[in-house]
This record gives sequence, C-alpha cells and structure tokens, in this order.
Amino acid sequence: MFGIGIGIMVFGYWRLFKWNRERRRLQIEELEARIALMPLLQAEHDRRTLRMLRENLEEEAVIMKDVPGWKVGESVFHTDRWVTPLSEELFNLRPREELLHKRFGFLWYV
Amino acid sequence: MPFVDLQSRLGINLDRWLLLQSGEQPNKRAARCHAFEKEWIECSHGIGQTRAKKECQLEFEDFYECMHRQKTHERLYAIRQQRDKLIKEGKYTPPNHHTGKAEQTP
Repeated sequence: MFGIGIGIMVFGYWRLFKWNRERRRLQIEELEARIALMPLLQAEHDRRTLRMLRENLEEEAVIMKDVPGWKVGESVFHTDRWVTPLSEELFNLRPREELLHKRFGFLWYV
Repeated sequence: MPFVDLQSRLGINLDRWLLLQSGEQPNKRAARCHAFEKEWIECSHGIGQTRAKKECQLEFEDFYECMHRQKTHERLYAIRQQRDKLIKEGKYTPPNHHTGKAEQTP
C-alpha cells in the first residue's frame, strides 16, 4: 500500500517538474516577445511621459499665476541634462489612486 | 590604511564594490543618480576636500537633490497646496485628464 502511495507521489512529482519546465520555456518565449517589441513599448512610454509633463507644465502655469516669485517649469537641478521624472512628478495633479496604481499595480498581476 | 592599500596588494575585493554608486554594478544596471555622482566625482577628483567643497558645490547639490529629491517634493507640495486653495475658493477646476474621467491613451 505504501508502495502504491509513494508511486503515485513520485508520478505526481515527475508531472509537476515536467510542466514547470514547460512553463519556464513559455515564460522565456513571452520575455523574448517583449524584447522584440521593446522599441515600441519604450517609444509609447516616452510619449506618455512627455505628454504628462507637458500637461503638468501648463497646469502649473495656470495655478501658480498669482503666486509671487514663482518661475514656471523651473528645474530644481543646475544642469541642462534630461532628468527622468519621478512618478510623483508625473502624477502630481491627478487623483492619488493613479499614483498608487502606477507604483503598486504590479502586485495585482496574476 | 590609505598608503598601504592592502586590498589591491592581496588582490581581494572586500568592500570596494560597495563604495560608489558609479562603480561596477551587478547585471550592469546603472544607478538612478549615476550621472550626477559621476559629475561630482570627476569635478572633485584630485583636489583636496577643502577645495572640493567650494568648487564642486553645484554638482554636489545636484547629486544630493537627485538622491533625496527634497526640492522636488517641496515644489510639488507647493503646487498642490495652491491648487487646493484655488479649488476651495472656486477659482479653478482641474481639467478632465487630471481627474479620472478622460480615457487613458498613450
């Protein structure tokens, strides 16, 4: 009886390992597809970032019109280089849950 | 010991790998403030600490700001405060894309 039980267990393990290897292969294929599409994804992401920065700039000009001594769109750095904006900067004027979704949405991925 | 330099002599790397953000990183992934740190180090290399504090003040401030983002957060906070004030007085309504209503397109 123990033999039957252990035999079933071993068979179960073997099936598990085979399927996990197959899943690994499928995951590698998905990652390869992502690598192949990387220029498109990066371009989309960059366009979205720039659009959000532009909108924030215009809103800032409207909001801070009456505040004395405020320079619109002033960079906090002394350099001219492009500094990748923080998520907080991009989502500053939006409802808070959008920022939370951007930062922690990956936890909901199944 | 600065003049003995045991680690190079013995050929081991006990803690040199964690001294700088701009050093060699695993998987070749650059740090977020790599550029700022590089600028600061290139500016202040070779001259002494006293001189470096005076001459590399701008680079150091940029690096510090990149790491802690204090000025950025203050600025964002000021904008948010002003916006809430204007909304309370009724002078400003946020446009559609800043509330949840517009559909998200890239």
